[in-house]
Amino acid sequence: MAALFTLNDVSKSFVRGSDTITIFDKLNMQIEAGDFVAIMGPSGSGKTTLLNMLGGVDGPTSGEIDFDGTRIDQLSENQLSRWRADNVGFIFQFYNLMPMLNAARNVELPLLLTSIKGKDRKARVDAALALVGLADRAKHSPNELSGGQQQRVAIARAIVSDPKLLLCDEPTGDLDRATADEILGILQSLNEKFGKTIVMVTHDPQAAKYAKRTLHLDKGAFVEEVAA
Amino acid sequence: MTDFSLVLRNLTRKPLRLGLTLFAIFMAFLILTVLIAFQLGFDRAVEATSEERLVTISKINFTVNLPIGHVSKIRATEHVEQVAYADWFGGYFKEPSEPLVMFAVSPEAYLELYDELIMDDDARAAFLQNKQAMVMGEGLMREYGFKVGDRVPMRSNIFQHRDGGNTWELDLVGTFRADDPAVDTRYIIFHHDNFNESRTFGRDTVGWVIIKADNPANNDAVMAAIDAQFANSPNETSTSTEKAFQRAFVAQIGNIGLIIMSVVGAALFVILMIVGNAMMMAIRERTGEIAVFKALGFRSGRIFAMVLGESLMLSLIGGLAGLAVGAVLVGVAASAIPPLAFMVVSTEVMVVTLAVMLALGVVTGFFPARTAMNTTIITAFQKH
Ligand SMILES: Nc1ncnc2c1ncn2[C@@H]1O[C@H](COP(=O)(O)OP(=O)(O)OP(=O)(O)O)[C@@H](O)[C@H]1O
Ligand SMILES: [Mg+2]
Repeated sequence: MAALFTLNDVSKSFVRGSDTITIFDKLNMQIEAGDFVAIMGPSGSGKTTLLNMLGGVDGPTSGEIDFDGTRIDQLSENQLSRWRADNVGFIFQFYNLMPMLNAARNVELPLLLTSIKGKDRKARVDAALALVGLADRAKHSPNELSGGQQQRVAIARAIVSDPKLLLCDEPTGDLDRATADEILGILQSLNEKFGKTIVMVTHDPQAAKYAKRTLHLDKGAFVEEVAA
Repeated sequence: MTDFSLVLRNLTRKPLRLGLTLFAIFMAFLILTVLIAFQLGFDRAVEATSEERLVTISKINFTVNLPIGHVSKIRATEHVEQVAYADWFGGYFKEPSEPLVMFAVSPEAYLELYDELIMDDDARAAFLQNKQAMVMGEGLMREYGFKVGDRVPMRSNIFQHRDGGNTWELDLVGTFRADDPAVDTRYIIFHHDNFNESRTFGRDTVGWVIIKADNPANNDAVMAAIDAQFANSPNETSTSTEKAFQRAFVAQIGNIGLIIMSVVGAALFVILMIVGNAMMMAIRERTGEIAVFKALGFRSGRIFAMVLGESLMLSLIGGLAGLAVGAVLVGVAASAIPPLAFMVVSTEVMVVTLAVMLALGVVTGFFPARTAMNTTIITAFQKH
C-alpha cells in the first residue's frame, strides 16, 4: 500500500523563555492510506503535538512531512488552509460545534469552502447526518444534544466534504463507555466501509482496540508497535 | 448558509448586548444627523448670502437704528450703484409666540438688490404701486393658509400704529421664491414709507442700509468710505459684506460650529469605546470557535473579513436607524420652528453620516478582526 503520510527526521521543539524543550528528535514514521492508527502514550509525550503537525496546524522545527506527494511542511498558511479544507477532517475531544448554528448548519460549514452549492450541498449534509444516525436532529442546536450526539455531529462535519484523512484527539475522552463505543464504531465503519485514513489519539486501551494498529509514544519516540 | 448569514448569526447571539450596543449607536447617529443637518444647513444659508451686497448698521449694534438721512448720503458715496434700506417690524400673526420675519423696505431698490427672489411681473407691479401691499415667500403663505388678495392684520411686538393698537392691515399681493433652496424665503416685505409714517415712534430711521457697489472690487473702498463719512458723528456706522454680517450675527450666538463638533466628537468617542469594547469581548469569547474555523480551512483573510463585516453591520444597522429617525426629527423641527427652517437632511448630510458609520465600523472592527485573524489553531484542541 502507498504511504499517505511519510515523516522524515521530524524534530519539534518549543522555546519557552531561555529553555528549549525538544518533544521530537528525528522522528520517522509512515501512515498508509486506509490505515486506522491509534496513538497512545503518557500525558506530555507529544501526542497532540504530533496530530497538530499531521493536520498542518503546527509545523515541525526541522524534517519533512509528505502527504500524498505534497510537502506540507513547506506550504504557506493560506496553502495549508486550502489543503486542510480538501484533505483533513478534525474531531476534537470537546466536539467544538458552533453554538449559534443547528446541527445541519454545523455540518454544512466545511462546504462553505467548496464549490458545492444548493441541492447538492443539502444532500451532502443530509447524507453525513444520516451516516452518524442523526438525520432526525438536523434542526437541533448543540445545547439540545447530548455529548455523544454532539460528537456525532462533529464526525458528520469532519466527513461532509469527503476528506481522505480524519484526525481525532481523544474523541471519546469526554464520553461514557457505551457512548464511546458507539462513536468508535462509527469511526471504524468510516475506515472500513469508506476507506478513510484515521489517526486517533487516545488514553483508552479499549478505544485503541478499534484501530488497526496502535503506536505507543514515550519521550518523543515510538516504543513498540502493537498490532490490533 | 453563506458567510453573510454566519456574520448575522454571530451578531445576534447575545441579544441583550446587541440591543444595548445598537441603542448606543442609534442615539449617537440620531444626535449626529441632527447636528450635522444644523451645521451644514447653517453654513449653506450663510454661503447663500451675497458677497456682493454690503450692509451698513449702527456702530453700536444692529438693534440701533440709523437716521434715514444716511441713505441719501450713502447713495452719493463714490462707487455706490444701488442702495436699499430695511427696518425690523417685529411682526406676528395673531399669537406673539409665533413671530414672523417681517421687514419694512424700500420696495423697488430692495427687489433690485435681492434679485435671487423670483416674482411674477404682475405681482411685482402690484407690490410697487400699492403702499399697503406686502409680499411673502411662497412656502410661508402656504403654511399660514393666506391667499393672494387677502387683507391680513399683521401685528408688531415693538411698534404702535398712530391710529391706536399695534396692527397694520396689509394687502397680500403676491409671493416670491428662489431657485436655490439655501436662500431663505420665509419672510415678508412691505413698504417702509407706509410703516414709517404710521408708526408712533422711531420715525425717519432705518434698521440697516443695503448697498451694491459698481464693482465688487470696490467693496473695500466703499465700506471704508461710508464708515469714514459718519465717523465722529452721533450716528457712526459699521459696514461689511452681507456674508460677514451674517457670520458676525452667528458669532454673537456663540461659536456654534465648535460647540457642535465637540458634542459630536464626544458622543462618537464614547460610542467608539462602547462598540469597540463590545466587539473585542465578543471576539475574545469566541477564540475557540475561531480556531475551529481555521482548523476547518477558513483562511485568515476570510475570518478578518467576517469580523469586520460584523462590526460594519452593527454600525450600519444602528447608524441607519439613527439617521432615519434623525431625518424625521429634522423635518419636524424645520417645519415647526421657523428659525430652524434652514435645517435639512440633504444628500450631503447623509453622505457624511454614512461615512462616519463606515469609519466607526472599520475602527471598532479592525482590532478584533486582527485578533481573530491571528488566533492560533492549537487553542481549538484545548478545552475552552
Ligand atoms: N505551544 C507550546 N508551547 C510550549 N510547549 C508546548 C506547547 N505545546 C505543547 N507543549 C509541550 O509539549 C509537550 C507535549 O505536549 P502535547 O500536548 O503534545 O502532549 P500530549 O501527549 O498531547 O499530552 P496529553 O495526553 O496531556 O494531551 C508538553 O510538555 C507540553 O508542555
Ligand atoms: Mg493532548
